[in-house]
Amino acid sequence: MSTAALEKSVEKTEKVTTSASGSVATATATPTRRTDRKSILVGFDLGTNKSCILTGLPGSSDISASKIVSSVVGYVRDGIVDGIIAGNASILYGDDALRNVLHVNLVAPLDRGVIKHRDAARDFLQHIRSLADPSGSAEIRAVVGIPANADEQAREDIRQCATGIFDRILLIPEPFLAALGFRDDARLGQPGYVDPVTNSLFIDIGGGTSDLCLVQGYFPTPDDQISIGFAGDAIDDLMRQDIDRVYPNNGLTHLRIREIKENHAYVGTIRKPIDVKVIMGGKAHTLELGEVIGRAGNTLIDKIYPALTTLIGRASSDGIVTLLQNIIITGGGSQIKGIDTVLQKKLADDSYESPKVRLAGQDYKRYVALGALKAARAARENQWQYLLA
Amino acid sequence: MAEASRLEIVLRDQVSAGFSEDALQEIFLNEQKRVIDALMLAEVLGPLLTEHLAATGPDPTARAHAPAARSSQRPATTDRPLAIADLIEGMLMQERATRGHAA
Repeated sequence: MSTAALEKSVEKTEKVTTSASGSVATATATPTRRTDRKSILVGFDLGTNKSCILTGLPGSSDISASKIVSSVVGYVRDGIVDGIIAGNASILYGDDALRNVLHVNLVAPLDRGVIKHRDAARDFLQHIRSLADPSGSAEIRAVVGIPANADEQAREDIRQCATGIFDRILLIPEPFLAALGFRDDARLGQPGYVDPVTNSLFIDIGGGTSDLCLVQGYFPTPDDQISIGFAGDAIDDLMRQDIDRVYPNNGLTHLRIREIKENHAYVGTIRKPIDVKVIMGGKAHTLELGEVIGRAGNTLIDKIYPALTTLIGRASSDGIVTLLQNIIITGGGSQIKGIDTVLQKKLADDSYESPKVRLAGQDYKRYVALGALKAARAARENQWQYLLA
Repeated sequence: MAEASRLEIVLRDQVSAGFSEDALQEIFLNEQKRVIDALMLAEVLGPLLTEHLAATGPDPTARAHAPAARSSQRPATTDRPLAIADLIEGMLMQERATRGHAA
């Protein structure tokens, strides 16, 4: 049998993953699957509040596109006058939807990292595809970040929503992708450089989930990962409850509270005063929110710290001291003031050996997508899962 | 390869003197190609069959993989930079083992 015939045979018999529920993402490949279409690789961080995509071409190390999109879909309400919405679009996405909040019904496709509204998720993924491939003709191979320990139903939901939109897919836990993205490939093998994929603990604090992951030289097992359903959105909720209690009828929207959090969030000793100017009933007011913000942030610490020590306890004893020096916080939660020093101090106070907790840095929004793009470039042909409509 | 060479020597000893060298060489070349094709096919179909069996029923191969999914039996670490494709393969093996248990 020639190699060409062997490849055709592989095409016809290659089977994709089957979920535990028995649903199949795809069955056999069709003869048209291997075409001359251009392929585009996509690294996709599908976040509860913010998503990030990075694209590139196979065989190239360049990044063709880099976009951060708010994970929201806005369906234009009936009766909106022509010309109010740009292009008289019926659906808006991301920041366009948020800017037109008065004229659309906003739908967040995800909740705590998993798909909650399938139709909106499909519309959102279609939009992502159009960003990656404006021509609409390319084969899209996407590595998609998922919460640590996402169950099979959550994975299947993504596959089904992506069917007909992405051609091939790989689902990989986000904190692992963050480690991959954080890895400085240029420094691999250099003396003194610790490859984060070899020995590190990543804490990815997003909008819906806070995911902790031990990465010690092999793909993390379920025991190496902990996902907590308490993250940015939960902080917003706590702040909302406290603000409503202290300042009833404040009229603050969910988006405004999130904005206050993003500007002022901190952990540790309560800081006062933190004065925030808000518009209530058309009039400017100053709310002192130091304690409200600090209490909400410290609740996050109370949730994360036990998970952190649990994972440290599960780590291989070989290299544990190095691991303790490589605890890295990424995601939007890495922007909470003091989160690195507070966690480090707690570990030191609990007698852990020379712990060092650091922040991922300014590129925190892109590390998961960057790791996903690296994975897309490296994945072998038979590791991709086909998605057939 | 060593075994193939040994067999070639044995066969040459046993084949009658009247058998043409060219014909003999052609037989050896055809058989060699057939073995190579079979090896390539096994390499490609092996993982696919494993995945299929894991999906459709209890799979001794999946059970053999299952211990690797337990944290108590982690693969040995290495000082070399890890190949991403190998890490992905580790993830897929865990998934197959999990589906094998579920099935």
